[in-house]
Amino acid sequence: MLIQVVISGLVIGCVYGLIALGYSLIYKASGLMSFAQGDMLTLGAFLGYSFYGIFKLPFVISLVCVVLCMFFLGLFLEKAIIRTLLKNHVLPVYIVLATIAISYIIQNAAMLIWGTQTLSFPQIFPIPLVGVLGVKVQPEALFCILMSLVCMVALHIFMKYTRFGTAMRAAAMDATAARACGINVSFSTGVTWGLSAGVAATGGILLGPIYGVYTMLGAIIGRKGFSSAVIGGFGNMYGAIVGGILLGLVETCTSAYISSAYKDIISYSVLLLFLFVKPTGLFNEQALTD
Amino acid sequence: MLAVEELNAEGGLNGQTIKLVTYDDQGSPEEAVKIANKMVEVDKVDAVIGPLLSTCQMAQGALLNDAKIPTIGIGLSPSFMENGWDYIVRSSLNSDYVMKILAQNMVDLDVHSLAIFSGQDDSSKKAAGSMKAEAEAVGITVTTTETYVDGDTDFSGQAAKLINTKPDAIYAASYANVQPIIAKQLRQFGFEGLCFNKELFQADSLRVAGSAANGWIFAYPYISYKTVDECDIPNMKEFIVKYEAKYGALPYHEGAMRGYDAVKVLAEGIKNAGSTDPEAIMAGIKSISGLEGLGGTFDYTGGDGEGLHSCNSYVIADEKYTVLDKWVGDGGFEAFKAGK
Repeated sequence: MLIQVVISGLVIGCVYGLIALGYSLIYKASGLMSFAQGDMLTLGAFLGYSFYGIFKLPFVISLVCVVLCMFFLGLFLEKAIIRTLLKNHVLPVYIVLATIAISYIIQNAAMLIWGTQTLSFPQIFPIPLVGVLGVKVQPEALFCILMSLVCMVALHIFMKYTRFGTAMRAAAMDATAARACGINVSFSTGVTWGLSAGVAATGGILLGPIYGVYTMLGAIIGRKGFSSAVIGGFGNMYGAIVGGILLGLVETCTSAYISSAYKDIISYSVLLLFLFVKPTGLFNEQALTD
Repeated sequence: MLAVEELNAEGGLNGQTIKLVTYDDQGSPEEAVKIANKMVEVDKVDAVIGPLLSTCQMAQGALLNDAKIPTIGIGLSPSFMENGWDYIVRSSLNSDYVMKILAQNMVDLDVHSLAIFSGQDDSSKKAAGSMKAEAEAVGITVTTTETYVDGDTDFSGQAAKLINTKPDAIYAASYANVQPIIAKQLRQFGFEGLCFNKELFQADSLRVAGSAANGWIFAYPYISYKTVDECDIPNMKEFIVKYEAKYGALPYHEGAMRGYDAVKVLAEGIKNAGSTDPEAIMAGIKSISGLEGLGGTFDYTGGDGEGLHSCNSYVIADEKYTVLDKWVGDGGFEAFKAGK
């Protein structure tokens, strides 16, 4: 039973981690928070269903199409809504409220476009189940773990070792100074929101074959992803994934060895514990204002 | 709407054309109350059908009852009928009756121990409690009861714990959106026994679950068929053909059938009453006996406001719905046990 529980915790933890990556990316590069990440995941799953399940495009092409669509949607939302609000010098809390509004709009639009029933996402791999340490697992679940790790490393390298990533971090730390250095702050922030939407959508297209696709798919996962980002260290790419995995393991172990009735109580208590004892998270990520 | 159109095409009720007013409560009890107010105060309706969810029915029931509006409830939970409202009856099947049927199915299928997995909403918790009581009443041991929060997508911890108690079967009190996920995760975790579901295992859930849905059993008056040919119940087949002709697709949710039957029950009550007087309509409904609907034969003469009292049990085999008795008779159960 332990192996089953650990593998399941890893799978769901990596999904939380993918969402947490989006939160961390936006925070790291713009100092803002978005609460629409879970719905970006849902939208990614629906788009993936359309490209892969309806238009019958190969999976890799579908994945690229979804990430591109979501990247431009993220970019558009930042330009049309977030940037407009920032230009009006609103308090950061209004940006958060705007993202909550975006979240509801996406949920409702998805319901109108794709309907309210659960849609069946075709399998990505020809084999329904593979054996890992004596446990049967969907290959899509293993692919999900792999993609989470790839996204984590790629985003970390991008943010830390590329000129554009450095520019994005500089724009977040001090927009005025960054502009003085010739950095296009507006563009870099837009790209950040686009990347975050793309990462969340990747989670959605990977979850589709495992859970099916429905409008509330990303609702709870979005909240858990936020907790994961805090536990790992808000703004840290490695922390996002490690925080997600830790939360996933805590959840599954609580359900398996204590009681499923206490699963969320214990999971969110871990979040509170980190906020009180170690707000910088596992990876000791300092808040941007520190 | 289909049923109302049919009735109007036949000359309406007692010589009057039926005017249909529809609202979407969005599954929200608060919205349901607002709508009930509008129906009573603005639309001044003669009767109400729905809402689909028992929680919404609970919220608006007192208001409709106080206004003496004859109402046909189509929710499944025992809860709203327990209020003893004089002007509210039910045309769907009380989920408590389903538990008795399922408990008997379990006995017939050699189930001696059962693990229960339930949502934390009112309807699921009530169903899980009823199932536990009914199972224990027929001598089945309940090994554990685990729960999930609405919106969760990962049930692996619960699946591991349920299976670890080594039950002969698992009962799930859950809604359509999580049915396929639960089915898949139980099978992935190696559970090969029979699974029982609180209500219909929906057609779209079946498409998502695929072969993981095989061996799932439920007792329910309606089925959401994937094709017309799958249906072998004559009046049901006639309904889904008409539905497809009108809407271009088969009903993906059995709510369409619940609504159709509710209109037929209300129409019969009004015909019996000969007027739209609320008390006469209620008396008319309570005198209904032997009315054939899609879900079975309606009989309100018991006086408890419940019209349906039994239904077929179905099993999913080869990813299709099959009547349970037929499956057992054709050797399906023996083959399922041998394939474990």
